[in-house]
Amino acid sequence: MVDQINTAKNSAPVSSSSQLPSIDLASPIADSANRAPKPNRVSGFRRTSLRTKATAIALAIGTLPVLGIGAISYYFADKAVKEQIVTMQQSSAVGLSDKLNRFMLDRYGDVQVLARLPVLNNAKLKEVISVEEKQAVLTQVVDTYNIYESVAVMDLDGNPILQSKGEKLPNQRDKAYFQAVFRGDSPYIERNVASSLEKDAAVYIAAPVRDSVTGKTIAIVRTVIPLQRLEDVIQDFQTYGRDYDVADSTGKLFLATNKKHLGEEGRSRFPGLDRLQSNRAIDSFVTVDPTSNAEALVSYAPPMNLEGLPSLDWEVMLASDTATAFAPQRGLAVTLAVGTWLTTLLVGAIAAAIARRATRPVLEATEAVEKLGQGALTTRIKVVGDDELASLGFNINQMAEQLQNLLQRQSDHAMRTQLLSNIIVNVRKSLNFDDILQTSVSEVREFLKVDRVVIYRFHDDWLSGTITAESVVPGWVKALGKIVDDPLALGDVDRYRTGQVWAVEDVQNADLTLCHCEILERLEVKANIVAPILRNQELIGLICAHQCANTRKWTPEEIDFFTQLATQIGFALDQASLLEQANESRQQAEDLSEERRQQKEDLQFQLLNLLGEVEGAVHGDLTVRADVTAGEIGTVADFFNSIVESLRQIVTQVKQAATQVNDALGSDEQSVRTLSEQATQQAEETTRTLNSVEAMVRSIQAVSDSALQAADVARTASETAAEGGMAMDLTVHNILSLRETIGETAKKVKRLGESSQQISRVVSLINQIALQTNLLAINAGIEAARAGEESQGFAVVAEEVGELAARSAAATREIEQIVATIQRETSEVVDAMEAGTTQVVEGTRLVGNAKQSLEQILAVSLQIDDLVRSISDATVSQVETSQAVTSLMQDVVEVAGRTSNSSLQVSRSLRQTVEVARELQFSVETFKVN
Amino acid sequence: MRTVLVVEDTPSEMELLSHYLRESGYAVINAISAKEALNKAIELKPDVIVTDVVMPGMSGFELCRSLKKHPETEKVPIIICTSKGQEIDRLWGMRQGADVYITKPFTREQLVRAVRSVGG
Repeated sequence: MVDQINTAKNSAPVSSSSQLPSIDLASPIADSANRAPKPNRVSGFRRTSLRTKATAIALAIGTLPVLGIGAISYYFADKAVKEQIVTMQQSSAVGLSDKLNRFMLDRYGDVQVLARLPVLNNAKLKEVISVEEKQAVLTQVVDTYNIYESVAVMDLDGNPILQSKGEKLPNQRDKAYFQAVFRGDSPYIERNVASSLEKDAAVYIAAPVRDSVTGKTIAIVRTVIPLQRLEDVIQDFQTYGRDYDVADSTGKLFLATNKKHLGEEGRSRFPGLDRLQSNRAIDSFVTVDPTSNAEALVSYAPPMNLEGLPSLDWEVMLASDTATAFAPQRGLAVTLAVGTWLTTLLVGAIAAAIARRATRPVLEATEAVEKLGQGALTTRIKVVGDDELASLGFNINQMAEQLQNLLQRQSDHAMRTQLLSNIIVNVRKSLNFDDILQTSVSEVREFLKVDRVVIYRFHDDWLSGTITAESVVPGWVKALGKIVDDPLALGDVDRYRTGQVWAVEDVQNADLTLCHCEILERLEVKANIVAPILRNQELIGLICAHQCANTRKWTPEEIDFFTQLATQIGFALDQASLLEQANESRQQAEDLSEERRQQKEDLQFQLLNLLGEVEGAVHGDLTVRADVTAGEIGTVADFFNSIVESLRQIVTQVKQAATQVNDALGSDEQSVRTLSEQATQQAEETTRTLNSVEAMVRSIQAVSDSALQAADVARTASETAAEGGMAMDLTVHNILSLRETIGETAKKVKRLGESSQQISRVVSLINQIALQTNLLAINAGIEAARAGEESQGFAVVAEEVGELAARSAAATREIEQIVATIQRETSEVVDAMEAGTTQVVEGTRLVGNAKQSLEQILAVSLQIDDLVRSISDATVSQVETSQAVTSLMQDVVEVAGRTSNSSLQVSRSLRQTVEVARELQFSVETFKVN
Repeated sequence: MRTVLVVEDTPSEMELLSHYLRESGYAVINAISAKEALNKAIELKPDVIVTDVVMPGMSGFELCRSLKKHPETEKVPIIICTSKGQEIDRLWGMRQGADVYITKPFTREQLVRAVRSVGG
């Protein structure tokens, strides 16, 4: 609702505004209409009508608790029923288990009673009673109990001794019960029944039979209970659609309502059973039967221990279809739901009716406000009663009325603002001070519909002022240009400075000073309004609107308008004065710039003069002089003068220096040339000396060579002499040995002569012997002959000996001759030898002489050698010295050459310098210095 | 009595300067151009030289330079008395060898104080 009021406030008036044609009325209505669907953006609940909401809330308040209570009670009832059902089934399961175990306990007791029957364990009795009688006892037991299939007694080898009526049993030694009792020597009850289901659906119970006297086991008694009997025991538990299942200690089922599950694992029959088995506690759970796919509630009873019965480990499961089991629970739910809904409907209907009734006035108010919002401000609400709703209606009516008034005022205000802005635009169009004032007075008179509007400018003393602008309705007194003496109190000035407006409705009745009153009367003023005009925060005058025809009551709007206008006039004046200032400063700037231009031109003129004066310096005229004027350039001109002076001085110095250099260079050049020639000459002479030295060196070299050769010759001679000496020694030696040989030979020849003498003696002897022999031979012949013819042979021998003696005598003679010859020759040889010896001695002496001569020669040649060698050495050192001399001379030559070259270069440089100096002189000549 | 050489081409100015100086007890030598002043300075050896700057032919600045270059006059103190009153003119004048730089119009006190300050 608040939103709708705001909308109405923001938009323009709707009705009763026909007197304001300038304002478009259609658009705000359209706008308002367009705004109506704005709540589309809010949530669905806020969009629905109040009636719907109230009904909905009433319904909710009425029905929700009923529904809640219904739901809660259902929840608890359901829980209790469910628990009851489960508990009942669990107790059934426990009951079943208990019943089964107790039945088995009885049977366990039975077999032990049988084992203690005297007919079986009393040895005496056994022998007395026949087998038939014993068997009859057993048969009787079977028949009486109507539980057992058979009862039998076996010896310790397993052979049946006794048995109830029936088929003859085979040896029982391999049976499990037999082995168990035989080994354990204690009663046995079969626990794993399911494993032997296929063979015989029965439970075996056995016990040892002990001799009543010795206590020794003498046999084993056994009973067999068909499973059918067990089923008979527990079949009561099939009621209420429950199925029982009993598993043995291996977990396999051996009793079941549905026979096809026999032998199955209990946990596969009921998925989830294993959790309960491990807990070993009575519990229930809901599972899905895998065979029928029906949901079942399963209760589990763990194995039970009974005193006197070994633990059988039989587990009992009792299952019932949930549909059947929880049927009572469903019935409860349906009942509760139906009851709850019926209650809810009833409560809802009542609540809705109440809500409708309560919201009707609010809806009516809403409708009215909506119309107001759309602009129908004439809409009113019928107010009945005195409650809050009635007060709301009344307030809405009042609000609509205020809105109407407000809109009226706003439109007036807007129009005034428009006019004011128009006037301001007109006033501001001009930037001229007087124009502004003139425009202002006309516009104000037009707007306020007064008879006269004037601008009153204060004089500086605040005591009087002039009417500087006026707009007056023709027929009334004109005040323009009039000087008014209306002294202004200090308080008035301050009051005006704050911009306060002073309105007088009726001049006659107002409390005015006499002076002021007179002025107004002169101008036929009945009512007036005065506002100050401020320029740059300074009070400069007043704007006064005069009503001359009649008195006038100034409305606050008019006063406000007048105030604003006065302020705007002030602003316009500010602007105008600002512009004036700007113009002034521009003029100043222009003047300044003109002055600067003039200065610049002046400066340029001075500069041109200066340039003209010093131009000659560019071409080398250093006699120029710039005039030092009184202007700014004067000093600069003197600066030039100073430079030119310095230059003049420098150039003068340079000129002198160049001339001096030229003169000095002329003499220098001659000296250098002479020096150069002398150096050349020296070099040549040195070269000649060098040649001579070289020749000398060559001669010395030759001498040295010759000396070396002489030394060689001397050495050869010396060697030869030494060799000759040795040869002579050898000769002397040979001669001496020859002399000895000759001496020896002479001795031997002498001895040969002596020997030949001995030979001569021997020969003489032999000759004698031969003679004697001959004589003997003659004697032998004589004797042979005397001896007669028998001695003839002897005679012949004697003859032959005689002959031999004759030949020996002949040979001896020859020998004598030979020896004589030898002797002669020997003596000749001795003589010759003696002569030879003499000659040899002579030779020896000669050779000794010769040797001495040779030794002398050797000594001399050695001396020669020494001499020659020293000569050679001397020449070598001489050669070296002369070589050093040569190299020195060469150096001298080189130096001389260089000196010559350098002096030539110096000469050339000097010549160039001369040229440069000449050029310099020439250049400097171009400067004019005096 | 101290001698002051006054160099000034304007007769009225010359008259004024001479008058002030004579009244203050100085002997005054006049020269109406810088050239004349140079010769008189060498010849007569004044104690102080007071010169104008703006003169036909040789200027006061040049006169300063010439005086400072000449061994006979290099020690003589120089006072420049001119209408060129800008700072650059003063600076330049002092650079050229002036000891004091006073600008026209001047008072008697200014002139006499200047002459005294350089030992005249």
